[in-house]
Amino acid sequence: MLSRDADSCYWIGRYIERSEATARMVDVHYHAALETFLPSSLEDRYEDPESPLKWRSLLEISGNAEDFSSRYTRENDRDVLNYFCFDMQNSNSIASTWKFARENARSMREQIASEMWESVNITYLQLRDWNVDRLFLESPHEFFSMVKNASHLFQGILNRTMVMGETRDWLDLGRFSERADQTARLIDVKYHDLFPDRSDEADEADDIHTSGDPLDLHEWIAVLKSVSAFEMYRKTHNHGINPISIVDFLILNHSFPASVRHCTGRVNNCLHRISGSVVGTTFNEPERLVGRLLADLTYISPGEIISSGLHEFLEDVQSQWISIGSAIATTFLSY
Amino acid sequence: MRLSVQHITRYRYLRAVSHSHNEVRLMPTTDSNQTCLIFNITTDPEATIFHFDLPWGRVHHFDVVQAHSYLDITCEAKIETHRANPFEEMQLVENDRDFYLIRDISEYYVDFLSPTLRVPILEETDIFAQQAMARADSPATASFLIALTNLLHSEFAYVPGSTTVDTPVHEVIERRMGVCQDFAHLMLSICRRQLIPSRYVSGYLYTGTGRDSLVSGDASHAWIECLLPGGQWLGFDPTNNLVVNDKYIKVQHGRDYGDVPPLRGIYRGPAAQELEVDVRVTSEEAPELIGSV
Amino acid sequence: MTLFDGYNASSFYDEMFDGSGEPRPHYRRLFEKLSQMSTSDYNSRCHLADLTLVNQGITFTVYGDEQGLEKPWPFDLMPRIVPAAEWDHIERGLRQRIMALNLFLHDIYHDQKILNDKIVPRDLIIGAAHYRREFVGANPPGGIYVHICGSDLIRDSDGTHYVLEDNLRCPSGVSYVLENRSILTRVLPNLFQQLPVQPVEYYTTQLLHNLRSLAPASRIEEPNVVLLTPGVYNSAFFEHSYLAQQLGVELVEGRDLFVEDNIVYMKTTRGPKRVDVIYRRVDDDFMDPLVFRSDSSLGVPGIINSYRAGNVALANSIGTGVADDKAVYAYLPQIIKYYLGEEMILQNVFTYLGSEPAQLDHILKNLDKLVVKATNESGGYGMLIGPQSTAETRAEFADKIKSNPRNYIAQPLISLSTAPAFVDDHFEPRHIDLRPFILTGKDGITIIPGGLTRVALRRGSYVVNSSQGGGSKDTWVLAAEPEPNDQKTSSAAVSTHSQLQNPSTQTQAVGAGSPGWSELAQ
Repeated sequence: MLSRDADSCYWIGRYIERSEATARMVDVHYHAALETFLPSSLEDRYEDPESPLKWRSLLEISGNAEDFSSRYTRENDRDVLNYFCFDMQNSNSIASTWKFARENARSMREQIASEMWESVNITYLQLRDWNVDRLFLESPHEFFSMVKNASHLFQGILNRTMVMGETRDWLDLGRFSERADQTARLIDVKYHDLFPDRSDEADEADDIHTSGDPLDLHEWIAVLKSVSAFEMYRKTHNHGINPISIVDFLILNHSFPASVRHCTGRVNNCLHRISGSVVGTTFNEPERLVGRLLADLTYISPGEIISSGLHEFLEDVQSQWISIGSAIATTFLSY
Repeated sequence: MRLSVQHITRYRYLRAVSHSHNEVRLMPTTDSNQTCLIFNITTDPEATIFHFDLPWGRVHHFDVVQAHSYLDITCEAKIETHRANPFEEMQLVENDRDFYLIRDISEYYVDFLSPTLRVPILEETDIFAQQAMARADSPATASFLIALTNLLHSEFAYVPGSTTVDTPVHEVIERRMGVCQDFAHLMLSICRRQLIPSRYVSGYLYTGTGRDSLVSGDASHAWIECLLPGGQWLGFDPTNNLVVNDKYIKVQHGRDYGDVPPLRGIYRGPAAQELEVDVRVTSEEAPELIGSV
Repeated sequence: MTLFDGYNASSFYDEMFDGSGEPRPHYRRLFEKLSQMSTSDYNSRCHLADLTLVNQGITFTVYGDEQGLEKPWPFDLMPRIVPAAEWDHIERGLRQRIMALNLFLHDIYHDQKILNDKIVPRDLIIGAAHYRREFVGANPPGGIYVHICGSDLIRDSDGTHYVLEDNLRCPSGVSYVLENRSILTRVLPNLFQQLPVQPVEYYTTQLLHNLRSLAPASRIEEPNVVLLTPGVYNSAFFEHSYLAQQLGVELVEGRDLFVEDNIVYMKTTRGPKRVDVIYRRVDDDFMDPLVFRSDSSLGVPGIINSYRAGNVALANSIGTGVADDKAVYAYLPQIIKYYLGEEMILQNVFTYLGSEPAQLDHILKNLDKLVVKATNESGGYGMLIGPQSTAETRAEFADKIKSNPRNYIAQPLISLSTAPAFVDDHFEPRHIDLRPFILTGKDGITIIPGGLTRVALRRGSYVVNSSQGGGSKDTWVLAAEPEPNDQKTSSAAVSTHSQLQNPSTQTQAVGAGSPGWSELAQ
């Protein structure tokens, strides 16, 4: 496969996954916040200066807090939703990610099924008809559902029409790399948000177990919901919501589709199919790096993660993903 | 004369570069004035040398794809030159300029009469043509060209490094200085405006023992050839005020420098590079090393 | 009220209706079918076609347009019909032209006999912007320079076809021929019934066959053919992508290729893979920064030398632009006579050359009556339509022409023929031209019946280029009328039956003496 096309597939996978992740997170956050009465702007905060800003953590998850405050003065619903959904200057906004996905798809449309290209093109065209006014006029939830459905439609057509070949592996490689990254970011920021003072102190791990503040509980449920994990989590961990189980589920569960461990496994399989090497052996640098990460995620326990520092652990995971990305680029794409 | 040329070009890059593609136009031509006996080209890092022939000369080319921080190109040639006395072939008495008005001539040699990027045809060169005409010993074209060669040599200063390969002719006229390419381009511009088909020649000059009085350029030399009414091409070297004889080794001719660059290359990597050129022309009759830069 | 009410082609030659307003015979069946259709029905078909185009992203890019890069390709559903006899004449004419042009190109890059014999002025060729002196003496595979040609035909008010230009560099538009047909069969299937419309879809099969046959001898078994595009921002990117898909070849950009030791490779996820044949949609100037423009980032350094050495094939070859120079066009009757000993079949539009002083004078004196064109421009750029121009633009053009006469030619304004195009809720006459595509391969010339009918969608406009507000139509070339006892339905019935047959009964049909098997036995 042409290296440039592989690169395009990888980014199509990433961008579509990113748009879905953004839609989920903003959707859940917006609706969860409706019930918690968090202030949404600095002006509103004077009554309770300790209360966290409603949108702050979300902006941090996406790594966009600085960019946002450089161009917007108020963190109100309207501006924040506009920023996440339609702002073309925000390269991670939903409209931007679909634009990039489409540009990549257009450059290689002869390689993918025409229905796949059409689904990307149609979503791109639909998004051009939306803006923040229409979002509030109709319903934010409807908009986010449309974005999620577009991602699922693309995935469905992919599964139904594309031969099990390299094109598909590169699309999956992008998608699962992105999903692993998004989940890790989500937990990291939410953890900070809920336990700002304790995150670095291992011996207080026990407290997390017992933390039963209804507001915190509500937030953790939101975390689970934002990766569509709430119902699955309930089935797996039926003794209740507690952070250590959540960490176990979202990072280490081997079969939940958004867990870091699961995504890493999928990427590992894609890499082995691309090179034709046997899983368990390493043929090139990306396989070696992903294989090592997968082993770590397979054999570490949630307790170990908490006791050695969840933040440090997630930071390490994210930096490993960066190395994996550049190893993939130098091995396959830009030699 | 039997002459040898060793031409070494060394590139040094600040950081490693790759995908370097190069064309070399350095093989002396074989025609009625000279025979190229031997030509060798080697490179470091080593590369496979390919070549093809155009009607006016051979082009060698090679690729160095892997990363490298330097590139040395060494060319060695042995040439036998024949034209000891160019004046023998000249008609130096009669006015023969009507030859250039024949439509067939101007049409056939359109390449060597048309303006090019580096040789525009400018009204402001007429003054040089008039002065040369006044100085000439006779109305014959050859006399005019000798006078013009002489005029440019006396009016313009040879100053190494004063110009680049892209300096336009009108700037050379203003500043009254240049290197051998500029002398050649200027004279081409004047001759073409006078309807005399003329072409740019790249090559070498054997400067013998009198090297202080002659210049052969930094790397290789350049002069021009004009079509004389007898139908033969003769070389004129305005840089040295000489009519081209058997001390000159012709490599290739073209419409201007752009057709016959000794080396042309492109690579992937930062533009910053150092270039060092070493040219030695020696004679078997007088084997001491001369002309190194 | 029918869709054709009020249709009036006035003084122009109309493809569908004759002078008395009656449909021409080859259009009669279509006229009857469409007359039965209501405006709203037709409108909904148009809407369906538009939606298909937009959703599929069948767009083209307009340079310098602020509104955004892509526009959907304007497609007029009403087909343009060419009867069999008319097409026969056009096809013979096109064959003749392309044969002569290929011989001409080979000659001027080798012996230059036609120049030495003074049939074509040497300075006209040697001085042409697209003459590639770097390519003199090189031998393209099979001696073919132009593998894909798109010639523009127009029709004057008396019905005569003229060739306006032969595009020999990277002619585009064939994807719309194929796509228009595919949309029309989906949107208006009943129009095709009972009309013997000749198929066009074998174009890509033939093109691929021709391209593969160009591969170097050592690679001819499984050649790697690619299509080289300038990239996604090129105005014809849709076409490049579409053709690559239809041909089943990789669509590459310059940055995907590199040359090592005179061999071209493409970068794949499994390492470098050798490339044998390149259908290139990048102009000469941008192909190789080592040989042509050194500032080009679209090209591949070293590719021209690899081509010259015969290690990779290019279609079209290098330097073909010299023969589609509009000044050279004026000499085509002589060129055809010189190489083929024949008279020109398809006429040229009379052309005044700026390079000839007497003709230059005529051009300058008649700017208000003539169409003036820059010799090396295409796509409707650098053009003055005298009768539709202002005194100011004429003065501007006069200055341009005087400063570089060689660069301009002029032609009388030909009143292009019209055909019905759907506007709002009815048909109106709009000017059209025709661009057939001619393929030249090692085993001959192939012309798909028809080509791209371009239509100037603005009322009264003569400019059909897609870059300047033109659209297109499907072009139907009719086969010679079928015999009265129509075989079509019966053969269809047979194939329906055979679908459900047991394969073993079919193999019985192949006798022991059938040629396929007996040859193997020997």
